[in-house]
Amino acid sequence: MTRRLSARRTGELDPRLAWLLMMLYPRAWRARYGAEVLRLTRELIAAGETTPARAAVNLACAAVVERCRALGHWWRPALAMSVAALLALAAGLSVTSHTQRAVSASAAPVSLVRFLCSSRSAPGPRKVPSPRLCVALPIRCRIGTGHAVKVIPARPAGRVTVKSADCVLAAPDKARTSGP
Amino acid sequence: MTTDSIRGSSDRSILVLTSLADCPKHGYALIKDIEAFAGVRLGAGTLYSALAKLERAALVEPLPAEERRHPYRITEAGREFLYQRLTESARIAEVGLRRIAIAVASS
Repeated sequence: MTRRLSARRTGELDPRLAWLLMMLYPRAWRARYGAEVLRLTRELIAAGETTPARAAVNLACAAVVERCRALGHWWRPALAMSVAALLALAAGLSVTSHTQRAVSASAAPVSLVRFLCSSRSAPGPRKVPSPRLCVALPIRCRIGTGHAVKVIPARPAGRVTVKSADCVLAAPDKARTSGP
Repeated sequence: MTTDSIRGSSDRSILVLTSLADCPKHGYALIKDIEAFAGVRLGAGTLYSALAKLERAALVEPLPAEERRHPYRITEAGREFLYQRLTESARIAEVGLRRIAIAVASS
């Protein structure tokens, strides 16, 4: 702790932090270039060319690059796929929140409705992104884990606003209406 | 690691190779030189990341340590690679500058 404080005070790279940063690099890279890169970092800091914080960030970023490089070439398509998946997910959520599909309320799978109800946390109607059904559930549809809500069939297709009286607890052994 | 992967990477490798084109340099001298001719200040991690990549591609090689510093020098393959890249860049720059000049003259 004292050593770290004195290092910070004198504008040096804390030895413990330097060791930690070096551990971020692949072992082979560390063995070959570790001493050199640390010596250069200390030279740059001593010459006032950079600050310990900036040097640490630079070393950490370079370590990430080297780690990715050490994994081989497969990480590039994997990274691209991940980014594409995230973009697709974001686009899908954006589209489905604005789209009303003509689906009968009775076609909603119980698991979906259960999810909608259990994920509900605030009162008032809201749009629920779903490719099959857009259901606005009242606060009284909130039920505990292990139960499901059945939407009464023959409700208007498309965006469905479920009234409290329409919510039916679908417990495994017991069913009752949760309405007033 | 091939020259194609260097080609696809950023210009940091080209900056390092350009700096080493005339004589061998160690890390600190490389950073100062690149800052002087390109206005780009590389960090130690970034520099050694580029150096490691170039060394794997056999475009640069380390020399024996001098005063605990390891100088690097460009190899024949590195010089050839740099020459090709700079020639390409010069051709593109020439076309671009000519077109800008024509556009400015006609406006």
